[in-house]
Amino acid sequence: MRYVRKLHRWLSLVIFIQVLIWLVSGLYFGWVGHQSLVAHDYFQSAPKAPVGSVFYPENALIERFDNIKSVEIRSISETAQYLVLTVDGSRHYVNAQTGERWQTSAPLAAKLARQSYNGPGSVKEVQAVTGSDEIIDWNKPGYRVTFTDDIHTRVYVDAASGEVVDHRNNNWWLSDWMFRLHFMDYSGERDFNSLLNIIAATIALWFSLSGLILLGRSLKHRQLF
Amino acid sequence: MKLRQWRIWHRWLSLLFGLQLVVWSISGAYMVFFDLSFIHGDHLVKKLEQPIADNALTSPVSWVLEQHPQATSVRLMRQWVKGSLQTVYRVESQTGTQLLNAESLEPVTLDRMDIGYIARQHYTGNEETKAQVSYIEDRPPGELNPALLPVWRVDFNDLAGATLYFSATTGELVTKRHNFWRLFDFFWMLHIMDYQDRVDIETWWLKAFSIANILFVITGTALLYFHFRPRRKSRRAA
Repeated sequence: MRYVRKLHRWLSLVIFIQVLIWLVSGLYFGWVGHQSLVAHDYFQSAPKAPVGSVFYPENALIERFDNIKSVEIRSISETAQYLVLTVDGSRHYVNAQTGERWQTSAPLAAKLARQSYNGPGSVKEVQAVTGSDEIIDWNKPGYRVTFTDDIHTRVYVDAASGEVVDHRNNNWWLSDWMFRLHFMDYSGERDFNSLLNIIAATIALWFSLSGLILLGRSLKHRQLF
Repeated sequence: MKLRQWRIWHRWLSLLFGLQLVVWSISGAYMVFFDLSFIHGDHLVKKLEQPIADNALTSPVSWVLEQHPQATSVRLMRQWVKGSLQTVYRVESQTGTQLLNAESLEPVTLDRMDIGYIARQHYTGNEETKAQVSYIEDRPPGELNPALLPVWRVDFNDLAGATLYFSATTGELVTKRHNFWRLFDFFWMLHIMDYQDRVDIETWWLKAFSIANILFVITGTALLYFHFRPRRKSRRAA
């Protein structure tokens, strides 16, 4: 038993700060809730509209691209758009009216951003950007549409596809840091299977189990007072 | 407070709240140890590469849209129907999703045999493995998102307890489950303390236990300080 106590004490020395970090960040997650954690305070999924008219035929696309897995047609703000998926995993977006590569103008980006937004603000600014520090897996050309609300919501729109990439706001960086601390992945990738986290989880497991054994002994010897 | 008092507080808090810390460390360790893509069951299925032939006979998409003016998405793709790979249109509207034969634009319905065949194409396990196909229209199992209904459920009789779910209307793979996922989901429930639906991270007891355990760890830190604090009498130089 002396060894269990010794183990518990030495493990605590190594891990107690991280245990506190886990508890505080976990409390934060429970406090703000899922919607705010992912910056979806004012997010809504845009309603899907009927496709509308199509001038460019799909068989022209089948000749144009090799190894097509699927061709989808859908509506992006009242304009029909083809999405061509190829076997190698790449995606091509084509304007179904003209047959040209899809392009998103700044006013269209603002309109698409508004459709994904249900907050009290209005569009303040539309900036052309290439990727963003705030969105880890997106580094393509697009727009940042900023809204005039209490948390400065920013909606990112991808230019090549006309898709809303995601929302961000002023609370998001704190949530992001809480995830980095909780997952011990400081890169922002939110990969909780990292070696560092595996080591820390192993130590924490031994730490808590040794504590459980010590508690059992205290109960057995009636050492609660 | 004196050392003895800290120790008693530490024991009481460990009894009242610390047990949850043990639960968190076990459930957390499980989630951390197993790679997330493995938990998702990505190894259970293969990527199917089935390009549409250049000379595929298809009716134009504009005809589909004339027939289904309310369609919000029309997708030309490949699917196994009656054991052969066919080119089909997948038509989605507010009322639901259906498949059409790409040439005749007649509706295509998939039966148990079709789903069994499609499941075999996806499954990476042994071809000899027995499987059971069942239709689920309502009352989905807890592991399935109800929004995906109706589905075909294909249970493989393998060690992993693999289950593949396919859309009843399109035959597309919608979800995959296996025993490691199920255990992960159980531990996730314990981790977030939502024993009902396993989704709510905002329950008051999660917050209460977090706060109580922060206090608990502080008492432990105090004990640590008492043990390792610098003694008043410094060691004499030799």
